[in-house]
Amino acid sequence: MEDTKSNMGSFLMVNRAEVLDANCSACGSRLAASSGGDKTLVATVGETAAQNFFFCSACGDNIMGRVQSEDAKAHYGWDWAVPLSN
Amino acid sequence: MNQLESVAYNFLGARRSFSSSPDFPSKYHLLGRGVALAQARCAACTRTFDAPRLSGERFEAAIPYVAPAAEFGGDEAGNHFWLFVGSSVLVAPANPALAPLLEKSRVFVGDRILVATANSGEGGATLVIFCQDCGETIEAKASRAGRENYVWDYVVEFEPRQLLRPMKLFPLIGKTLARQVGLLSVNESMHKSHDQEIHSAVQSDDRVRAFCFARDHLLEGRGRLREICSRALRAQVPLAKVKAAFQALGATFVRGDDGEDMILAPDGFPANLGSLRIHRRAATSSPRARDFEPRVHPALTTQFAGAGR
Repeated sequence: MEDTKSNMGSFLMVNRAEVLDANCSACGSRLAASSGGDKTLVATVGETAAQNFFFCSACGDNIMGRVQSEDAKAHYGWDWAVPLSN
Repeated sequence: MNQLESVAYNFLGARRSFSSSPDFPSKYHLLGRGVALAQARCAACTRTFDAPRLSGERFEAAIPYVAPAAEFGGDEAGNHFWLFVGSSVLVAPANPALAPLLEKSRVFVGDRILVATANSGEGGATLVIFCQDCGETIEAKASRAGRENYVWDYVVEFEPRQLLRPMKLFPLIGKTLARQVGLLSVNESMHKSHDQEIHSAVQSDDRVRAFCFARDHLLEGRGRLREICSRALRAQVPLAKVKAAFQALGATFVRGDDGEDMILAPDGFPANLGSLRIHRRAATSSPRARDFEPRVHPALTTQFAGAGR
């Protein structure tokens, strides 16, 4: 876990137009490994003070496979994370 | 300080240096955003942009294109069009903040880059710049709404033009324009004239006006062909040249659901089409000739051609 955390870098979330320093909230791996960017799941939790969690493609697919209600699905959205070089 | 912070710092630092030093800072600028770059490299692949002075296109002068009608006036960001005159002519929007530099400089136009206005997470906006290859990859991944945060721009560099006095410079520009045979209708008498006559000659050029007309309409995404033809006639822009401008900008001509003929902007417009280059060579001999191939719906070709002059 420590190794992957040390690889934390900056990412541009393409459709949110947001720069963030984060790893996958589930497995701790980098959100995107390829220079062209990777699919990333964004979960928005909370109504008034919403907090966002980001998941790599594999964890995101896993999570979305378990979401059953349409109401719950509304809290998730796919985006692209493009790694920014240090 | 990581790369991203460095880029943000450079932009902020450049703003300060630009406002406090109106003379020629030895930095690159972004033509559309109007800010200076202390360091210019892609935030994704780290490729350093080529120095416009060494590998860019050189333009002896920039002339503001003052439109005869409001609809020709500027781009979606409120920037006004300028005409860059060198061995070829470039029509591109430029940020008003650069006007003092544009008016007294020789301009080198370099790499085309994608500029992202991103939330930095602390309530502030950060400009992140990408080279053309990375920019196209990112743009392809952006949704229609997401593309609002991205804009294509040019890296430019300025060089003081102090050796040439205006009275010597403008005849030179006139000769350059006059060489654009068949593209710019510049009168020979302009060689002896001053800048105001050059301005009016450029502004009365049908091809430039048609380009601005087509671009302005494509910014709305789609438009009814009948209305566009009507507006072109009212603005006294030849329809044949408007048609050519739409084609050069990659527009599509289709039949709408209601039976009306429509003109559609290409995907990604205007992000992928920020300017039009008018070269001396014929379009068919240009390396980008593929971009100029007609894309008119066959059913509309006759109608549009018939409406032209």
